[in-house]
Amino acid sequence: MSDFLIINVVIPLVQIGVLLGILGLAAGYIVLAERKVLAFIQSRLGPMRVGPHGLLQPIADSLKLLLKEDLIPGSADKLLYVASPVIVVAMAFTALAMIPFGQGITLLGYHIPGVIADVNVGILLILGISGLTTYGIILGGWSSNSKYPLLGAMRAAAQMVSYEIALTFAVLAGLMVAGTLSMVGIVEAQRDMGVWFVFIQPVAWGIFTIAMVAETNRAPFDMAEAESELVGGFFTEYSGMRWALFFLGEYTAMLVIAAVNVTLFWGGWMRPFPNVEALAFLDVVPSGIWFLLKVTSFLYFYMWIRGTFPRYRYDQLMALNWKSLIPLSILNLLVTGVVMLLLA
Amino acid sequence: MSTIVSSAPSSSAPEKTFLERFLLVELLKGMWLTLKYTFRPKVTVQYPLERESVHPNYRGILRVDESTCIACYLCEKICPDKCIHLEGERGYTKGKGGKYATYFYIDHARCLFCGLCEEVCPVDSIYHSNEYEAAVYNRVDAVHDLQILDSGHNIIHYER
Ligand code: SF4
Ligand code: SF4
Repeated sequence: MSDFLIINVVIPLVQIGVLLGILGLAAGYIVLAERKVLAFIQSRLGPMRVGPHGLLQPIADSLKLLLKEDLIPGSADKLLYVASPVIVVAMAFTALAMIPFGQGITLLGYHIPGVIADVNVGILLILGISGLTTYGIILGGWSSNSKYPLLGAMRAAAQMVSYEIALTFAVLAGLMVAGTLSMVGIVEAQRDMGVWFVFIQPVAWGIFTIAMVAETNRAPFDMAEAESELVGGFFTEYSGMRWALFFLGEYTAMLVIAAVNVTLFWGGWMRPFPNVEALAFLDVVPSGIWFLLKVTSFLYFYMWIRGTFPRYRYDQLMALNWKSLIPLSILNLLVTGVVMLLLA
Repeated sequence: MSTIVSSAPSSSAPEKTFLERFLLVELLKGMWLTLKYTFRPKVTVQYPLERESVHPNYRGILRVDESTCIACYLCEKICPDKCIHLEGERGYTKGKGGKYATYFYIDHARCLFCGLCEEVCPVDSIYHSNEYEAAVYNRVDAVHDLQILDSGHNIIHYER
């Protein structure tokens, strides 16, 4: 086999296989972790009966969902109804390809990079692809041909489109400092400057963190689902495996956006204080583990705020975005530009 | 001319400064609270594995002490739901004279656990136990006869 074939076909395929295999299981365990964290916040124990401390619960859940009857409402638009969960999952998985998970390793003489596709406009591509998730949600809500899903889908669309503006402006502020659009390049820029961008751009990080919660339709911005007012939101009519696909898509999107946050503001796969020689012993921990630790902290943050804050009202949600986040992010962009001009 | 009345509820909370609002101080306080609760002891009782004990005065499933009952019919009379049925006769059994109950049925499906029968019994023969697991699959099984009432309620295990 020629080297070209191995580097361009075999290695990416193995990476994709490993990632998808791990992710399928990990999503289930993120759900379990979420149930446990929420339970602990409410002084409960959470799932305890399947396996020790409920550790086999995700497997039982997915088996149940797989074996459920495949229902399609009679008045639904069949093609779009079937397609929309697939769109959501496919978009979330595609965005995952651009995430640098680590430094990369050398195995059998071949360098295996820590990222599946090091695209030179990686972060733009991720934002664009996550934007397409909205299609899955709108089509899912619309094709169900029922009132609650439609309302949920319309809310989701308005919310995601609005928050994308603040999100992108926050990302832009980080990119101005990094000077590159490549995800790997951003991490390397932080290594060369010797500082994580969260310390240079704290306001942009704050805006990004708030907007990313809204962007993934998570509590306290889960207007699209809003169990207490819209039954189940845009996937009210979905059940069984299709419903599970929406869930998988939601949790993968959480993972992706948390990974973007880590890459852009928290130094990606780097250990804390990468320039301090005294902490070099931290390098025994592989770069991938540092990355996962950081992403896990963000996942915990997601669950933590879900257990803490009540859902925003719809107009409050929009006011927060249009009246606070967007002006603030533009101001931040302006200040960044002026400071960079003065320093140049 | 009508005066415009502000419909906003007046709040007694002190006005927050801009810095407090910008740094989300109140939200961070809330997150600190939930973080503390995360590590507090949990209140869940894992029911079939652990059981809370009930208060001694709890009015659970009825029991009758067969050896002391004098078949006076007072409990049957006072029962508002008419769920006690008993029959007694005179004789010498079980080492005592006088009347004793020959049969005694209590329908727990109809009982409202008012405790009147327990109060009215002159010899404290009928009483509420602390057992609360009274669920049955079959209505007939909720009717306890003298033997069950005397020896204690057994949880019925159903076969498929
Ligand atoms: S508790 Fe009340 S309802 Fe039940 S058997 Fe006694 S008197 Fe009747
Ligand atoms: S009131 Fe007491 S003694 Fe009289 S019949 Fe009922 S259980 Fe027996």
